[in-house]
Amino acid sequence: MSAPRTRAAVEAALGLALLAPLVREWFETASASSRLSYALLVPALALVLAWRARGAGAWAVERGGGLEPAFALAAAAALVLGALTGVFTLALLALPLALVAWTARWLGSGGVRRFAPSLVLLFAIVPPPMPLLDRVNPFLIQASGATAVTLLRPLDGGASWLGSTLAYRGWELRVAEACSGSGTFLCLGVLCAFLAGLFRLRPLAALVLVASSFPLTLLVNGVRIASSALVIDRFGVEAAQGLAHELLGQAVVLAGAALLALAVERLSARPVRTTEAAA
Amino acid sequence: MRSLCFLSWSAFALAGLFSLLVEGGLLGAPVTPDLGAWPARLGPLEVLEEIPIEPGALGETPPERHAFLRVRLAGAEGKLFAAYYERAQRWSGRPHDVERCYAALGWEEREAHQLDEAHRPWSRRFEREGEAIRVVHWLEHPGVDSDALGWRGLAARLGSARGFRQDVAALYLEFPAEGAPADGPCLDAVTALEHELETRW
Repeated sequence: MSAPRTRAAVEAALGLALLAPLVREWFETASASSRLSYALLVPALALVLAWRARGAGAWAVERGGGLEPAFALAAAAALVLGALTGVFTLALLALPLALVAWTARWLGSGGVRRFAPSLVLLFAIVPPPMPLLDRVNPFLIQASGATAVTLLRPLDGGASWLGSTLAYRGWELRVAEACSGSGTFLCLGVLCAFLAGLFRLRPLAALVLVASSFPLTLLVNGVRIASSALVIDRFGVEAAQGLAHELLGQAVVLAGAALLALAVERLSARPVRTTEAAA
Repeated sequence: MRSLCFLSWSAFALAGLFSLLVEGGLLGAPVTPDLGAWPARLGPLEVLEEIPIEPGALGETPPERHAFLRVRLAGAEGKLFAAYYERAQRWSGRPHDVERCYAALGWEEREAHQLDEAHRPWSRRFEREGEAIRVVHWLEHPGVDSDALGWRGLAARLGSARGFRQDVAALYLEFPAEGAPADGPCLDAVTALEHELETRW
């Protein structure tokens, strides 16, 4: 290994050692919470994007820009403020910020541009702040419940939704907060960002794609709640617990991902047609 | 530019070292309180009995310790919930907001005000299907006299190593709105609970 590469590797290792408690807590919490487990996928998806960008030809290393000190200082500020306030998400923000600074240090601004999709995606390891999620969740719960009731009304005209409880055919199904849809929303949002980077969508198209994860979440989560009600009504409570419940949840996310892939296929196909028409 | 880069990376290294000390628990390690046994009386608050609670009802990342008790305050019978979080629920520096939990259970908030005390606890009135309750809730940080992430809280944290502790306790008192204790007795109960908790962590 050449001397600069060794130095870069040593610097990266030292930086990671400083952030080790944050990374450990991130891993433990993301593993324990189904709502946040999507975050575990993010480094792998970012690596895929980085690997793809790496093989796309050479670039000139232009050092001396302001990116390196700006992002290093921002990472330092995030660490200090996060530690002082006890806000873990703020402290964790230092990791992707430091990675941008480190990329600028060793690969220059051209390298940052080259790896921009993977560097941007890495910010998704930081879960949205809890106060923000707490404000989105009630809306997600209400909208998902309303969707489920709409789907179930043809089968039971008295189906209703109060708080997070579904009333259907004389019995009540209380939907856990974990099933509010925020986990699905975050997971689909990350998948959207990944697909946008993978297919190199233009910024506007990428934004449209990421925004589409919200209505898609409402739809698939409503279907999930309604299908849980139907399963319980037909096969009993046991059929919608444990593994069966988890499988249903995973199937919903996969269905959403498949719908997203179709949307990306449409979005990314449009410029190709334009090119063909011009040719 | 080279010196600017050197300074910025030096700042990052120092900040990382500070973060390592705090996050690693070397500056103020958490102390798990025993929430299992309570005296029969805490100031104006009478502790009547423990209320059984299903572990699943505490969510995916439950508190490390909790107590759910039937209590009486100024003649009104209600509930006290105390939950201790070492780290697990501090994504945003605090456990889940109590008012969000009640909203998720179908309660609608009709009125809310902060009580005039150091912790500035919230007093909220919720209604659901003709039922009305009054909930007084607040957060306790070891040695810190405020639940806000403002200058006062930061100054308290910088003032002592204990202030760097990351653990937190969330407490709430719930009473039927009809005949619920006034703000005065509630504040006395909050103060008594604060003193009791301080002896336990």
